[in-house]
Amino acid sequence: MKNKIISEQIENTFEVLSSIEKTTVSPFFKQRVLNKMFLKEEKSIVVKQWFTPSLQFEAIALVLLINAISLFYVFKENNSNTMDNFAKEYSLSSTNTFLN
Amino acid sequence: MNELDFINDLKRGSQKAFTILLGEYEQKVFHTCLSFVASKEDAEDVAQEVFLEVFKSIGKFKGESKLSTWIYRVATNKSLEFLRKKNTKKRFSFFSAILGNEIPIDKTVYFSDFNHPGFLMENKEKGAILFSAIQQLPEQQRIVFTLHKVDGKSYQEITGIVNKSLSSVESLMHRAKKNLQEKLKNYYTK
Repeated sequence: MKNKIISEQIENTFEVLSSIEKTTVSPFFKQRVLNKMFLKEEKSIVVKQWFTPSLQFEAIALVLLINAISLFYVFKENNSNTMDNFAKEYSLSSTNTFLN
Repeated sequence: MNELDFINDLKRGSQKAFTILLGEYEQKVFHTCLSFVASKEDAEDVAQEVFLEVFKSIGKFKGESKLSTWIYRVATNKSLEFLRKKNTKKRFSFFSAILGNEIPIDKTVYFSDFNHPGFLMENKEKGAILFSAIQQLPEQQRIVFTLHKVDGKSYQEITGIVNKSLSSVESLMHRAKKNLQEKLKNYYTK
């Protein structure tokens, strides 16, 4: 008896597939997709035209140069500060004054 | 315009050709995606991805199958990809399977908010149970069952989409039904 009930439940579950109603896609779907297809293509063409490979190379070189200069000055200043602090700590500075 | 000329226009990136393509296939592709993902909003997102993929990859289409078959194949793959990403408990299910535990039909795996617009209110619960059971089928069985029973495609159409013989498709369908009956029996016996 219980098996019969379970079989009926299983059949009823499968039956719901035959009663699925048709669903229509949104009316704006087509235009939305066309916009993505062709707007995307236009944007990528514009970027390609002005940012040429030689310009890209020059931009990278400039960034690297600025970074190198910045690093050079940062380390130079750090070294100078470190040396001064070390000298003061161990009273090695030439500017030390002695009390008489 | 014959199909070959139409495909050449698509390959050339003709906006007019893609407008015609969308006019003819938007509803069909949407319906296929909806059959897998069971939510109108998600189905539209996936269908959009399908057409963008067609737009991107039409150059690679060699004409070995009909254009429609190729589009439905893309739709099936995109739908499955979407479900894989959404299904966060897949890893747990895999380990459960190794340990020999019967994987219960777990409605918290993606279809907890089952909202397929085509199901009447009184059928929504059964629909959620069935879709969760379908998710647990081996992939090939799941594809064939969904395309035939939910999307309404013929066995002949399905052979082209999944690239298998008619007898293989029939066999997969038979095994899918048996597996689903077993899973539902376990569910209703609890």
